[in-house]
Amino acid sequence: MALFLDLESLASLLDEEPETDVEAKEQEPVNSYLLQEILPLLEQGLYPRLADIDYDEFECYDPSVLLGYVEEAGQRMWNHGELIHKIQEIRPICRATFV
Amino acid sequence: MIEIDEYEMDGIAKLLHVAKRFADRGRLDLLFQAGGKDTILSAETYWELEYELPCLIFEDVTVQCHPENDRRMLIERTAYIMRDSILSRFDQLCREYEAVRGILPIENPFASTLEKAVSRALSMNSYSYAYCLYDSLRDKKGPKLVLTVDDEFEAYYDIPDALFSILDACEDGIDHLETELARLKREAEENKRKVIAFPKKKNARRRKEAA
Repeated sequence: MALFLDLESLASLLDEEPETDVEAKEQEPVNSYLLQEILPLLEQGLYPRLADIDYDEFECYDPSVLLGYVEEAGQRMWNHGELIHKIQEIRPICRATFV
Repeated sequence: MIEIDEYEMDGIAKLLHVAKRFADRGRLDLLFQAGGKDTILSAETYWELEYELPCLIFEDVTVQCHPENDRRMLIERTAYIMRDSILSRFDQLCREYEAVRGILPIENPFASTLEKAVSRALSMNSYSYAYCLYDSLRDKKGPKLVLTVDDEFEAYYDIPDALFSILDACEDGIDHLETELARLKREAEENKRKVIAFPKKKNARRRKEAA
């Protein structure tokens, strides 16, 4: 059984969403070592020893830059999640059975 | 996945900043003296270490807390009185330079260079703080840097690097002063050799004979 999505509803839903998510400036990148090695550990509740961190892998960030990046990244993820949730709520307009 | 709240992330980011500064100078050992070798990257670690950060760089640091009674609120002020042998050596050479040149401390270009370096280093990302550099003429115990912070001061994470920069400026000044003093000494010795002695006065008898 095929389901059909109402494109008009989808288009009007996307129209309602603020444009900032799509047209927003790209976030200033934060060092990949911090993003891929350190932050994931912290998100799992694991705290690395200061002696084990490889300080040559990243430059010195002002604390507000790192904090701002994590906050904004979190906000953007939440916004995307909300958008996906709303799209999932769009009911199909009809059901057709192909014989 | 655990969500890290803003307060915790703030502490972690500040500790990472501080550790990176120490590591860049090869002095993580100083940080571990305060927190131990197993110190972890966490907000709790930062908040425990924060007030000790100004004590880690200079050799001799005295901390004085001054509760002040304002009629409206109680304000706490903390003074960090910092001394170091590098600062003492710089001060000693400055006095020597002033004596050789016959100039006042205010006319000493090396002293004013250090003052500017201190001012640049201690331009921190907060308010509610003050500092003063005292030379040995103002304090018999020797030169010192006094940093005073109020309870609204927030940039403790900037202090270690500022203090490292000040000691670097002192070492730079020491090199220049030693070079300059050596040059002045050589110049003085060369000038001594160039001095021509006045002829001795002939005594009265010889003057008579000559006449």
